[in-house]
Amino acid sequence: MTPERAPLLEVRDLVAGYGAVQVLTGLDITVAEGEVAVMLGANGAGKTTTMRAISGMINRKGTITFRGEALTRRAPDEIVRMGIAQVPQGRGTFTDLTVEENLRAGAYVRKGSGIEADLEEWFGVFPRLRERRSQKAGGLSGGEQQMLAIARALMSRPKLLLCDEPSLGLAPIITQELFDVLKRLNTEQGLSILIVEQNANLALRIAHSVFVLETGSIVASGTAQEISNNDAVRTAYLGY
Amino acid sequence: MTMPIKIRESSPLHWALRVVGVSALAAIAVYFASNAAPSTLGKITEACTLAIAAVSLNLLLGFNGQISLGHSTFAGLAAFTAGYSVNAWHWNPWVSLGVACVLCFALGLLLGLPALRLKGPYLALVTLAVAFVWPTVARKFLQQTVKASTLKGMRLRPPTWTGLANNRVDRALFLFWLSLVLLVITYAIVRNLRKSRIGRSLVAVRDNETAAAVMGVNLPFTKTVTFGISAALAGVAGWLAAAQLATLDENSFSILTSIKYLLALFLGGAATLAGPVVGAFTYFFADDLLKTNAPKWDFLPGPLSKGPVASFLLGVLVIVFVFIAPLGLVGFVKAQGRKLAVVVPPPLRPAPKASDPTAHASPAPAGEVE
Repeated sequence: MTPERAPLLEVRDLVAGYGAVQVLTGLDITVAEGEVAVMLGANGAGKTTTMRAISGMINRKGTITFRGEALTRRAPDEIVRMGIAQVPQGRGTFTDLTVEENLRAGAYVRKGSGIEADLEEWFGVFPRLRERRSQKAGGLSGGEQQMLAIARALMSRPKLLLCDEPSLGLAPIITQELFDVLKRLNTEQGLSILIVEQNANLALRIAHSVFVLETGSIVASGTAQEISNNDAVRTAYLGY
Repeated sequence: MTMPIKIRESSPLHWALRVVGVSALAAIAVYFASNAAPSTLGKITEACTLAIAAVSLNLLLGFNGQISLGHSTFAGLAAFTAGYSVNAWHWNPWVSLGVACVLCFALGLLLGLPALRLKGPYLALVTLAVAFVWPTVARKFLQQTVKASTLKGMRLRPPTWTGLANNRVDRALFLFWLSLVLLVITYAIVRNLRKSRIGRSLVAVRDNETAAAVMGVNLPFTKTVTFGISAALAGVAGWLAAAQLATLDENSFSILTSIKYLLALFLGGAATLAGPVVGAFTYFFADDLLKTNAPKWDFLPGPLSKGPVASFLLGVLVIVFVFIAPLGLVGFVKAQGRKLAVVVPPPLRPAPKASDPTAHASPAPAGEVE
């Protein structure tokens, strides 16, 4: 049994969309301090919209509370400063910047000291990035770019990391490594992570709690164990 | 394949190479200043002016990814501000430079607002419209305020401390040095911006707006202010043009001027620091050479057979260039040079001491990623 953890991020009755199109219709999720939460959902269910709503990229209604503070009305840069970093879908590395410049860009909201030490730290965690430090990010492989995107997000020293479909377009073996890294970041550094995924198999393996998203709201939630045993989820996402 | 030589950034060797490069350029400048005819100096001054405009456009288009066909308007506004304020109000030319830059910055900010909602060809269209409107505005201004068909240029007297007299030869020499100094300043501003945290955010916005925003970059602020700074720097080019031209009229800064800025930028290489400077000089002197030496070819069809074929050849040259070096001259040279030598960044400062309360345990290295 995992002990009861304090909530880090609480989303209640979240409504968001693009213009007249409403994508999220009252979404509730809770991410506890130090846990890996996974949100499963098919294409168009609203996974990316949820991410964008949390990081302040789109207009949203409802309440989002992070470490006790409301962030529904805050701008993206304030939200980054509060400690939420996002790895956008499709990685979004800055192709014309070098690996190091990408990482430094990740520390955009930070001032001054500690940035070099953090670079050193993440180069230690991702040795391939150190090798390619002065190369342009556009020349990296998909897996390396995803690692770079994660390291870049970590440069803002987040308390919560949002990962938008990290497995997208990656070979299974690379996805496996990626989830291993996320798992280690969680266990060894106590980083809280919210991952949205379609790849349920891998995601469930590292998840503490799981939410299933369908057409804009959560239809099932529970521990990874409970969700794996849920028949509907199993047929829809695990395929057996 | 041989490995390229690695040069550590800011190492003595790197500094030595920098010093050699800068001294060579300075020596060339001094050589021309002491030997060249005033007409040649005038041409170099014009090329420098074009280079300043191309550098300003590079900041906006090359690094921030916002296209502008309206940069001729900023140059025109600055030139008219200088010409009118110096002639009609007897302003100090240096004050007019400051005022012109501020006006251009404001107009740039204003034009940056629609640019927030527009991208690529749509932004090109809006800025194109601005470039088209400028001659009309300029004509109205000439008719109603100046009450003449042209506006006199700004005659810059060399300051006494330069030891230069106020005659044609010395003025050419003064303008030559002034344009070089302004080019160096403009270049330094853009270079330092690019190498800074702000510069990284500009390129980040260009490469991926969403990722930049979730990193905490304020998109509207970054984009409009970049537009403003770029416009102010284009204003420097316009002011400098007003110092060279005897008269200014509504056609002095037409859409063709904007196209010239674009050509210079892309010939040299957008999104590289030296590109716009190299491109401006290449474009200007290729154009000049062709204009003065172009043959007459009777066998060409239509109107081309009548006069010199300078613009035709320049067009061909540009097209050939785009095929051989799509990244521009500097991009091309850089790609080739990378096979010989690369600059590698210096090692990072060591991690903080164990007593640092912010230091936290790192997880073990991740496996190799293909």
